Amino acid sequence: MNIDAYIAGAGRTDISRKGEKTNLELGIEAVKIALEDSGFDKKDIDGIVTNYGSPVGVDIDQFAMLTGLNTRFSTQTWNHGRMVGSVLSIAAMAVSHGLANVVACVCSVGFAKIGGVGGEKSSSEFRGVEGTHGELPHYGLSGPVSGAAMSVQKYMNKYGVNSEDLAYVPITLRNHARLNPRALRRSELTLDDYHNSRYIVEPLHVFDCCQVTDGAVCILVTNKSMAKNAKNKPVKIIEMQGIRGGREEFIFSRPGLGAYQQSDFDFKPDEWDLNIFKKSGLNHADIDGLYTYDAFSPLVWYTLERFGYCDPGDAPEFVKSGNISLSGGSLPVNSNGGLLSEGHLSGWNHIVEIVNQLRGNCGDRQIKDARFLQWGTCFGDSLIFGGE
Amino acid sequence: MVNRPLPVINQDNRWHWEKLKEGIFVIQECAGCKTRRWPIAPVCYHCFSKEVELIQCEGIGTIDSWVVFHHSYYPYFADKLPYIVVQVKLAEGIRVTANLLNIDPSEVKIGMSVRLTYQQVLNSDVILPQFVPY
Repeated sequence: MNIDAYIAGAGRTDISRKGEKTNLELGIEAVKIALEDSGFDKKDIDGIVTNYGSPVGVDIDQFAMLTGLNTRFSTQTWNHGRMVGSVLSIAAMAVSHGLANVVACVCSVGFAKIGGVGGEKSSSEFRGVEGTHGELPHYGLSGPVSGAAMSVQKYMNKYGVNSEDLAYVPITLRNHARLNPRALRRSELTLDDYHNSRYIVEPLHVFDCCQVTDGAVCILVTNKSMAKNAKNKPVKIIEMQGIRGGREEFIFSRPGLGAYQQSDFDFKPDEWDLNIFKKSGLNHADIDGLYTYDAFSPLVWYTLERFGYCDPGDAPEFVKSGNISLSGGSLPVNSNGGLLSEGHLSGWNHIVEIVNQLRGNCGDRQIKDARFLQWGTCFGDSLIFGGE
Repeated sequence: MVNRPLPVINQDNRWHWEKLKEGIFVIQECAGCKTRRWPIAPVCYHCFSKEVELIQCEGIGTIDSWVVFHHSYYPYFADKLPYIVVQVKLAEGIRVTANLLNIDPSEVKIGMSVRLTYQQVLNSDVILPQFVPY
């Protein structure tokens, strides 16, 4: 497929834990910031893709009506971090094939307003017999944190690692957040702090879990001819691949770990996992930074292994020896501080960071000469972005 | 008193919950390709056949993974912290999730033998399958 898609504007609200603004207010604010960033007019937006669902976001009908948008391509997905790649891909396909010129991708989350995620506060628990995160409320098995806890228990057992190793994920991302004035968690996090912290769901400590926050992001996706008119430097969507589904997939694991209904086997990235490299003609060494959905620390390990940045079982050492760090690492991960420390806008805040990095606007945390940045999650979806 | 959250019992799985009231844990085996499946589903995930034979599990298995909740997500469990949730591979080949009872969290290990037990949920007619050390 020929992709003719660019990010021409990126807007993100402040991230808050106070729950003061409604999801609609936040979503509208994000669109305004993205329009300002792109220099486009509201009338230029003729497509919309939103995240909707738990925790309630903005839905297309309500949003387009209340904001006076007039769109010819409108759709929405479930509001989960794993849908970030899907939404961007849908938008990129729409503009590549003439279904729209400018698609506004809008995600607005209100975790803080509802007081948390998981348990009775989260509607996704009751979507089916087992929720989207494998929840079983009658056993007190709340999502989403328990899924990551269950899979990492297997991982630790299989590869002989423990919490001592896992601590380096949140500590590294905290160090990134300390360079980011817009991040929520900015105080120093030490190994002692980590080990003295309480468990949420053992083996995961409180610092292995992101905070629940409110905020919104709007990403304006457009084609090349329109992108030329953008006020700021557009970012090219070079390649993309979708999220995986099936019995071997579990939302908070990677294949092979035997979480929920997965088989337990020696994982190797397959053709579909690595397709993004093949299609783009880029290889691992070309990627200047990786951005991933890191609601829980273990997901960073899984992502590194899923995309072949290290062998299965080697991610803990890869992280521990500084490879994902902005200070000298070969592959900085989540330079904004991630969901773990910048805040939880479902991963959309990472897309804003990618845009800012490729424009060279990241100040103290700028990845030097960043040319190609990858979004990739442990669920297998990925996009590669490049500066034009 | 706060009631325990109840499982979602629907048209697909009602028969299973009815069998549990008799103290029997029954799973589906495809009549065509013999694949045993879990969770309950109206079709075989391997060959797509709808024909099933029901297999009664003996209830013996080993712990595949486990977690301990130290944070309360449901009012019912607030005074039950810390509690354990396990994934158990039954001898019949499927992997099921439940609580592990009658053990201190510090003693739980992957590979440990467990057996099914049946627990009446207060103020309901639901019987929950649970695990205890074996």
